[in-house]
Amino acid sequence: MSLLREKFSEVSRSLVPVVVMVILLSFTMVKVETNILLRFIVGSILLLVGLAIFLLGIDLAMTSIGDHMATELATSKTAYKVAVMSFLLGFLVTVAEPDLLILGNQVEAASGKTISAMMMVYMVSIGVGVMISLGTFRLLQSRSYPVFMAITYGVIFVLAILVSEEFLAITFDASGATTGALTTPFVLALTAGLSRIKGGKTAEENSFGMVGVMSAGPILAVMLMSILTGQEHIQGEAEAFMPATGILGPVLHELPKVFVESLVALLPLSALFFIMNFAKFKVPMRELGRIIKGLIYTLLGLALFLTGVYSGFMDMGQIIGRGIAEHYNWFLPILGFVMGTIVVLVEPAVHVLGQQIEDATGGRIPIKLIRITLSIGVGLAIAGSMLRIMIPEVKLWFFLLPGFATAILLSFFSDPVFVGIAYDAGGVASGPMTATFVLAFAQGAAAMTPGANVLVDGFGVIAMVAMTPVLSIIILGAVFQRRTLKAQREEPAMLEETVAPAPVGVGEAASYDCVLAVLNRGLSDEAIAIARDAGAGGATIIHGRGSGGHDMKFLSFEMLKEKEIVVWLIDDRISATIAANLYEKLDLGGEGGGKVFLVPALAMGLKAPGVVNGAITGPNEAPEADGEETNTPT
Amino acid sequence: MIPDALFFAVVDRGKAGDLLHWAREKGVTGGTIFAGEGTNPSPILNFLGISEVHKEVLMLAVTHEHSQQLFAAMKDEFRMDKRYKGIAFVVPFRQWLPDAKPAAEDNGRAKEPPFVCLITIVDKGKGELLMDVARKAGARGGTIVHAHGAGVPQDIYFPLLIEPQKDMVFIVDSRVHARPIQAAIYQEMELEEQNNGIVIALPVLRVIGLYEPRGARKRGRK
Repeated sequence: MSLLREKFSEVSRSLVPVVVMVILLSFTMVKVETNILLRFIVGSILLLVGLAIFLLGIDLAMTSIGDHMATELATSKTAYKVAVMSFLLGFLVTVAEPDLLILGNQVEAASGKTISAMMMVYMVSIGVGVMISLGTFRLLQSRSYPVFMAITYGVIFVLAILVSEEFLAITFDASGATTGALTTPFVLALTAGLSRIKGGKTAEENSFGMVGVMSAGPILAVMLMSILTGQEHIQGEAEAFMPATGILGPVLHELPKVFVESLVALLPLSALFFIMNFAKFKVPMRELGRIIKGLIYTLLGLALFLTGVYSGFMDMGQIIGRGIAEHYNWFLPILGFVMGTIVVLVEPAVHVLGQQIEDATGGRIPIKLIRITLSIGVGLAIAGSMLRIMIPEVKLWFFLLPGFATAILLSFFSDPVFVGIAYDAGGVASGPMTATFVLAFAQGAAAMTPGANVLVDGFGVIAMVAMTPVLSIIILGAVFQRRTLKAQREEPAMLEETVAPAPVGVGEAASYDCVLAVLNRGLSDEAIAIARDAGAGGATIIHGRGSGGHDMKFLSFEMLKEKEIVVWLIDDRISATIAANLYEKLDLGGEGGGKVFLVPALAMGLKAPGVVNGAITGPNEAPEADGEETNTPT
Repeated sequence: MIPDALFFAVVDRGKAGDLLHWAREKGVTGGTIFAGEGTNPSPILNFLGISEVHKEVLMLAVTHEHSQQLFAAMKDEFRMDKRYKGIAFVVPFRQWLPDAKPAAEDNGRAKEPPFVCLITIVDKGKGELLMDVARKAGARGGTIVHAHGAGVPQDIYFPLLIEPQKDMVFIVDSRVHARPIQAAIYQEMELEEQNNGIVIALPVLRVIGLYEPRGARKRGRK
């Protein structure tokens, strides 16, 4: 399947339920004017096309850019440079985020001009920069991620006591605004790059978590601002709701504006990349071409996507919220749940995260499982927000405090990969779809519910969406961890096997064996060291997943084990010895332990030793050279 | 019976799991899946930057009977006899087992295999360039797999072992056609020089899914 078709089918699969839901509602419970419904359909088409192109662009450009930046970061010679550069990356991707400026303006109005919009934008960007910088150090110095997050949220809890509830909601909204459609994919790519370079046993878990770290930045920054300026209360009300009229008019009106916004958002990062490329990376033309194409796709896709969302979905959300709240009040939490569940899957960053999970874990963790858990989390968040709108006594922190506290506690007992994914999911879920469609729905509902404050309740929605997926995925990870431990306990004891003496070949021709070892993740470094001691040269490692012995079924999802395939090219006279060594020292005996294959490689026409490159034992070397490494017959 | 061949199948992303499942029902134990990328030679798609096709590679250790069954299934159930559905091939091997007899080890080298699988390992990013070179020399397609080398300690601030990223390219073709392809790769990619990469040829006993590219191939078939 071509890449573009793949993206289209992926996006349409997640978009169809949303469209079906809206159309069903508009024929049954809610009265929707025809032109708004038509505009919604136009918006959906724009969203489909835009998101597919956008995701393609992210695939082509962001991964490369993230990789190069990560290499530059990780191979820095001084701590100072790492700190400055990672700060700069975090600052630059955030400062241009259009959502943040919109939020800044809202806060400026709400705070009666004590906090200016620009100050807010800069403070939040600095917050993100500092957090990314700390997160980078954490990753590269291999410090515990759950502990890092526990400390971060500990600080947030302490500060939260000093901040009024209204501001608490804004702080989380700021974090939702920064984890926008562009920043999240970039930060994900950067993290993936860092973990790829760092490698080792923790590469998988290190590929996640930075979005979670980053979203703490704005929360801290806005809380500090509130405390420092002494600003406690939000003034004013949200603007009166006025749906735009016409079908194509609003779309065409929105498009150029959104295009410029997207361009501005994309500019700082691209500029930094091209400057660095000119000065340092010198990316080959082909890759550079791909990055440029990718950036263009990203820009076009983002503009179309956001236009579709703004013009088609925002008014629709308000109308549904108002309609349901007016006539079917009791239905709000249920609809909220359904809406949260299906709308979050249209979030661009959810797709990007899914891709990253597939890449980083070699497809071991079924993305579907993560998506479902994420969906349920967000569904509960919206349902909870609806309850909060309907019953004013229910406070935001009733949900946030126990939610985050449980998540932090469980994160110590959860599979580490899931912890990173979970904290990322919080940022990923609060993207543009939630911030427009779902938020508009909540605001609509609040406007029609007596006693609810549109502004305050609206802000709270994002905070809820930022919390529940973290909790739900960490719970999943904890359950998963228990299963894994149980499966390991039940594993039969390894049979004692005596290793036969290695048959050392006595062939005369300099021919080679391609040795393939399929190992459990994390063993490859050891394997390469063992083989090197026994006379092998360099090796290449592929990440994959495999079934080996005990398979795990998890809620009907098949969980394969993560594997590494190590490939060597070894003189065929010592290859068997090396295989024996690997077999014995890595304990490849039992079920699902691992396998070593020897495939004869042909030296085709080319001068045989020249085919090989590097430190392979030459044909002149006596095969007995590594005799002490081989096993003595018992 | 001890497996004596490695069965490789390159299929669309997401389908390898089904295939593995299917194989396991037939009694094949253990399989490994890794991600790869196919390339599409269309210049239009290439200009648009969407020539990449996501693929998955499934690797199974099989006995002779299983390999026969799998090939039949490839044809009937996975339609690999049709164009663009993927490719599957078997490479003979001897699995290292403590009690394995070293006798039948030359099952591939002794006779001339009908096909070969060229595996080239180059630095990351050069995989597509390599495919261009291979195509010019007559290759019909290839799969790029992202891999990395062993960690190398470097003089940087963090005590990290930097893992050099690599592209591994798998190209399957008949033995006769593979020769010029291998030579072209060796020359154009400058593999003669140290650390530029290596090219390995593995014997392939049987293959399904190998097709002429659209627009006839220039070289006559033998």
